Amino acid sequence: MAIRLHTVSHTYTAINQPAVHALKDVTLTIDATDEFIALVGETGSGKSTLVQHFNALMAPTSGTAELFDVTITAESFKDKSIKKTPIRKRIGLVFQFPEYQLFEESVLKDVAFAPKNFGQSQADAEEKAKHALSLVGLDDTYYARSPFHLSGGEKKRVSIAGILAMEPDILVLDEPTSGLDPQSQKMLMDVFESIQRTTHISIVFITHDMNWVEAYAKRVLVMQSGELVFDGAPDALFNHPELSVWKMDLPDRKKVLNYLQSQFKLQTPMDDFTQLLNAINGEGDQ
Amino acid sequence: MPLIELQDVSFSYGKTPAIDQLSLTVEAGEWVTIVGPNGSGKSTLAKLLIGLLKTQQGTIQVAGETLDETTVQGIREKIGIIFQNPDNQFVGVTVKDDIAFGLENLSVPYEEMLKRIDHYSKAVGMDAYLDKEPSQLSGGQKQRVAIAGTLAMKPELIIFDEATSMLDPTGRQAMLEIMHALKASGKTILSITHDLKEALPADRVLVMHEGRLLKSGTPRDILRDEPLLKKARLTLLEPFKYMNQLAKKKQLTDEWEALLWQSAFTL
Repeated sequence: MAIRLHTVSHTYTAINQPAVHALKDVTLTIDATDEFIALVGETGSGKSTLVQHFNALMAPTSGTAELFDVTITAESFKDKSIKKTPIRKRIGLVFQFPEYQLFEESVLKDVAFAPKNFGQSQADAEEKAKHALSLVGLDDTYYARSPFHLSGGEKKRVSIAGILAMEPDILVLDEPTSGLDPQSQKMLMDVFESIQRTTHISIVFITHDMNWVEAYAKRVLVMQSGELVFDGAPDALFNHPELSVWKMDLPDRKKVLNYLQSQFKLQTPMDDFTQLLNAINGEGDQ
Repeated sequence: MPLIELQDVSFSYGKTPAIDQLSLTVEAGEWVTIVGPNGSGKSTLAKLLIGLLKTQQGTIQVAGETLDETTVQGIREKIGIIFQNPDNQFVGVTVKDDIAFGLENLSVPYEEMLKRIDHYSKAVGMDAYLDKEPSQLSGGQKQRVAIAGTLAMKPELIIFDEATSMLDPTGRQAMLEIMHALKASGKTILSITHDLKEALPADRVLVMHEGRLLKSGTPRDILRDEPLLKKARLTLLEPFKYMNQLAKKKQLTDEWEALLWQSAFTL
């Protein structure tokens, strides 16, 4: 296992403020290969705090985070002899609105910055940058362009390539499609799917949009008030009796089909509109 | 007389035209939703309306008055705007301060200010949070405070510029309910979004693409128009896919159309 959290709790404390229990006894494991995980939960449920424990940006207040061969606890986190940089290279975290952090004069330079910073030669860093850009679907016509003159979706792809150029084993994305129009969102999700399929790295993405969970995720984690309340397949989540307790939405398709099904008083859940039509016309019973 | 009237308005950032000879009107009391992809000029339009950007061609009229240097101050008082990022528009130390901020700028007397803070914080359901700091609020709650602050200045038109796009489903739902209440109270709403769900309750939908108006119509006309929406980089909502599927087979009865329309409001 690449990431193994064991009873991880995290409490934010500030002077004259009540303590905030952002994570409570979270236990989970994430493989280094072939995972495609959606992390969902309402605002303030602890999603962002959780992912910062995935790459040692934060330490548990109690419990342990085993990240590859390094064990992070409240005590070991302060130990300077335990290096966190190699972990952050293997588990790449892309913050929300990463495009705000683009700064170089050309796309290629921006993407090559991280591998160069991690000690690669100029030539090697550029080689890795070119490969990363090809993974996010940006060809050589983009290399010399200024990142500031790209569209929102392209900027996001450049900043994600910047993390991919470090060749992480796991890619963690905090609301990667936020602020994009529907088609650009889909294009970006397709990019993640193709990266996952071709490189077999594991991908974790935070989202509020159940349509993406349904369309892309193989596994879904649900956070509520700092607790991990669900860890399983998307379909199992959508049929879970506590879905509304967790303030989770259904994908659009399910909402509409459920509404139609109840209007026609059909008992069995429908997978798609054609099946629903067949059931209404009495063809589903034979 | 329309509340907003644009005639042949153009605006470019450098050489790239963001708004290209745009003409449109918004009537008082109307709920108009403008949809379009990133870069279609939607947000530039909002900035032109509140005088943050100056038109390079054409005229903008608000309640019969032409927008220029001499009128911009008065017109700004008629228009409130809610932006996308809840963290970028919270200026007060507490919720109460934040709502009061705009009123102080307008030199509203203290007694009147307290009355409005009380009234509008109740209107958005944030009256129990008046002494809270922004760090203690969710994104959706911050947006509701921003709305209260805007409403307290009694604008005639409220612009929502992608105001729900960074909120979770609960926050988004609460915002939509406030928009319905505003409409019922006679306010004019201009909602700018790429979420087609927010076009459903509108009186009129405008589709923008590359700084131009592709089409203006009722939600029923626009939301089924697949080629139009595709051009504007938007995706058909599920019920309208089914409508088109039935229409293709010549099976779209009035009953089906009504039922699928209803189902869209569950989204």
